[in-house]
Amino acid sequence: MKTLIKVSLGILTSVGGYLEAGSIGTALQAGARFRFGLLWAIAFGTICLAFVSEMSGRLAAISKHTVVTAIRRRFGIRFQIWQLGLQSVVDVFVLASEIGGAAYALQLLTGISFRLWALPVALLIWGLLWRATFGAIEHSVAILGLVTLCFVVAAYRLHPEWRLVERGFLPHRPPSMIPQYIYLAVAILGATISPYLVTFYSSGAVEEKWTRNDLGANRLTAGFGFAFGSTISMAVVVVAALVLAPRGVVVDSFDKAAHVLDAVFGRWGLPLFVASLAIGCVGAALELALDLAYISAQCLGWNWSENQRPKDEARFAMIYTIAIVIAVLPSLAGLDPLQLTMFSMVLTVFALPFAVGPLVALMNDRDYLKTHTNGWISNIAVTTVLAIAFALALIAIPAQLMGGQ
Amino acid sequence: MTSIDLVRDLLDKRLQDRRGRFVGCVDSVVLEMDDDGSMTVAAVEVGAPAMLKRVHRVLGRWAHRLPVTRIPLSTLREIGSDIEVDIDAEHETQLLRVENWFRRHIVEHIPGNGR
Repeated sequence: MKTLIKVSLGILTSVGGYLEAGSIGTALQAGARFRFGLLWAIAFGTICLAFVSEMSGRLAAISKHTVVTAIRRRFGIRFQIWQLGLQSVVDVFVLASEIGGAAYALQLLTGISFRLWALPVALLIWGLLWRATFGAIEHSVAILGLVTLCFVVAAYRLHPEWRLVERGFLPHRPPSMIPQYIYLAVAILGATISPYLVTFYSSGAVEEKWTRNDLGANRLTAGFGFAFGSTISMAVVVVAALVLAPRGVVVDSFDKAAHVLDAVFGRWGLPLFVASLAIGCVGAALELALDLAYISAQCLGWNWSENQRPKDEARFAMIYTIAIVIAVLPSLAGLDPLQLTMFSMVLTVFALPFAVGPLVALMNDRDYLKTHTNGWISNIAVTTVLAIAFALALIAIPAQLMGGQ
Repeated sequence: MTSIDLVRDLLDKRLQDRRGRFVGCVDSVVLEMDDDGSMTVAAVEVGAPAMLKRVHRVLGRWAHRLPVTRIPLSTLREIGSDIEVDIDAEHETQLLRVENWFRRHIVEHIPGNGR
């Protein structure tokens, strides 16, 4: 019974917190341009993410160490400093995208420029981290985030031809715009398998003091949580495919898609879109800012906890504060949030091989996993993810240059 | 004599002080050479300069003004997946100097720091 509650809470958190600037942005563009043609990228990315998260949760449950602490111990600071340096840069870019996304949502609602909203949004995010315990934040974001399920309702009510939707789950050559297709596939995979999700997941597992008794719950949460979450992303693709694609709308900024839900929800369409984007972005921004503090603290061996007070671990609080200050700058400068998001998603792909690579070694090390080392399925999975991560990192820049327009 | 594998057992492990606070990682190990030429491990070092020196000496030089703390090997208690040390980091060492600086000069001036 306890396990059931734990798993349900975990899944609820994944679902409510799934959608954010990256997943909405890439899904809207994919649907508008290629209809159902990139659904496979979301599905595939989600399977990769589920495997990698399950491993990081298992590592935490058995070794009582997060991925970051274990990598420092196993590979030393000389490897980790580059890996975490890169991940931190990526995290800050993604954080900037989320702040921009939330600010842009408010622009859609009020007509006041996102440049003016950026500062209040950043202050809200910082204030929540400073004042509230993370448990409270996490649960309220998860509940509020359920508003994003409106995309699932809309996808269903628009009556897509399910036969065509199913076909989207197999990669195929699009009739035209092949560079854009590859570029969007890279961006979707970057948005789906974010390294911060993995470090964040393993931090949660250590914080909740998982033991070997939680391995079953870990498997279910990692599997179903992300699977249910990703159906929302897929719903965004379906809605964009049915509403935007026939009209030939190119989603180069969020306002082009602001009325995508109107066909189903009428005058409630815009508020629902705004709420989904704003809540999704603020939720992700909270996680990203915390994750930056987590990975620094874990690498340098400080006390870390989502619930410690700022004055008890001042350095921890300083890290997320500085991260938010840097991340608000692009929006203040007027950089378009969707463009920034797409750039960040492609950037994420570079951090991926360095985040996944160490797992291959760690998950087969009995010093850490005792008898719970990877079986052959997990080993094939993690090696495949690693190979794909390398391939993605290689084609990311050419894809961005050729397909980014 | 107990045998310790310096890299496997000491380097890059987290240190936990007497009060249970994690106070850093072992950033480097200090060896001492006796008159007869034999080496003994004297202490472990914690601090940004010690850590960055291992990454690149230029980085180490940049950080040279930050504190480095030497923890004598004799205070190391339990060497497991983390290392327990028999010291009070707050009162007996400089380990929390940067932390305390941030707390006193910035965090304590912002309301809500204790929630």
